[in-house]
Amino acid sequence: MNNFTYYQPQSVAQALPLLENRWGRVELLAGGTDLLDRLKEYVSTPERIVSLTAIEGPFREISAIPQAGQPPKVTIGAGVRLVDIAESKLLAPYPALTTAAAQIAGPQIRNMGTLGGSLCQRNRCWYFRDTHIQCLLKGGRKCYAHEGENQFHAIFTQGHPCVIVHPSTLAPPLIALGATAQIVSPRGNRELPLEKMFQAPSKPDQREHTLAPDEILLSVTVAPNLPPGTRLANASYEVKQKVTSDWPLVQAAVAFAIEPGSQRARNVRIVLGHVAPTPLLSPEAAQELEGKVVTEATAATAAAAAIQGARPLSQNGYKVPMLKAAVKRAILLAAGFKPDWE
Amino acid sequence: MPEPNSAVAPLPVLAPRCMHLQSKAMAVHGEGFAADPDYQDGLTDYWCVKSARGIGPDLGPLGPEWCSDPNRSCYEEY
Repeated sequence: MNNFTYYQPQSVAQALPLLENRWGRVELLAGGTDLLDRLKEYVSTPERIVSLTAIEGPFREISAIPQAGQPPKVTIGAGVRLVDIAESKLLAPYPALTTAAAQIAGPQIRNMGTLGGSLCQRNRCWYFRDTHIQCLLKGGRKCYAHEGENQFHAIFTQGHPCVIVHPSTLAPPLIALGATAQIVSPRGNRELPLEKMFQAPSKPDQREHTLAPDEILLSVTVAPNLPPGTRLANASYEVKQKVTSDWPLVQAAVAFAIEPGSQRARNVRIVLGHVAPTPLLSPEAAQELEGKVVTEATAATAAAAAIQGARPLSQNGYKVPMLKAAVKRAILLAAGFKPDWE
Repeated sequence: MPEPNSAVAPLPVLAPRCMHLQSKAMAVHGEGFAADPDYQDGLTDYWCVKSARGIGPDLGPLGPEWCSDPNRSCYEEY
């Protein structure tokens, strides 16, 4: 890797002045499970690295505030490790999030990787990660995956020139749960729905998220606002080639409220992961389930709606039926049906 | 009777645990897996034989400490 200057601020306030207002010369370091790889492959060549590892307090904590008649409002610091999310009792009402975190990579990654790193990591496209290849995201003229090796790339591209998939496994369940992101910069604090924090990049001055170069993700908050008397159902289902130490091929995360008595699903949110340049909300699938009782048939109808509009590339058509199955299984899992392994 | 070899640590006595918890070290070394030189507590990849993945049938986390709780709905003692 290239030489760089290493800073280890003791607080977010100390870290902010070290950032710049353009990408490339400064990188943030949290768990390092993505950045170190990029440094060693010369995909990222910063002159300065600002480590967040010495920052304590809410940045590294999970806090929960009980809410009458609702699941607790939880705030997860961006510096919280993946293993701590997976094993947190405070997050027990949100199995979509904890099961997703528990299945990320392997224990070595989960012991170091953080929430912020998962959400802000760069994509895993092998053309992007190869220092010898000048793809669109590195100032080149073409996306090589379009006509090249694209078996792990997007099936929902919406005509976007770069066909990466967003690699975060935590983003889909968080978006399904209606999470918001808390962000800080020299200009102050801001908050936005988590789904607005992602974008499909196509140029070197764009990232897979919408944070400015001088912004830091502080935390993510989940605060369900369920209709009175309902209970929250949520689940994440992913399909992988290897059960451990691998990236999902597809992921589906769902969250909805279940009415007592009628058992109808309300406020349905279905998010598709690892199939598009951003985590993808599927209002079409949610609409098929809204107001209906979850059954095999209604789950299958919603799953069929989720794959409408998929335009697979030359080598990833397998993802379409796989995603349909993942959506159906996630819905059934959330509603309390027996898991597919029983 | 030969002197006990003080350089060899005795095998740890394992707490009761679920029969479905599995790891590569367990498959190779059986109940003495924790004495395997390559075994690193906290860094071992476990899986559940029932769920065939890295979470339990109850969607909870896996590991000796998690899979030793008899109150867990999926627990079956080894």
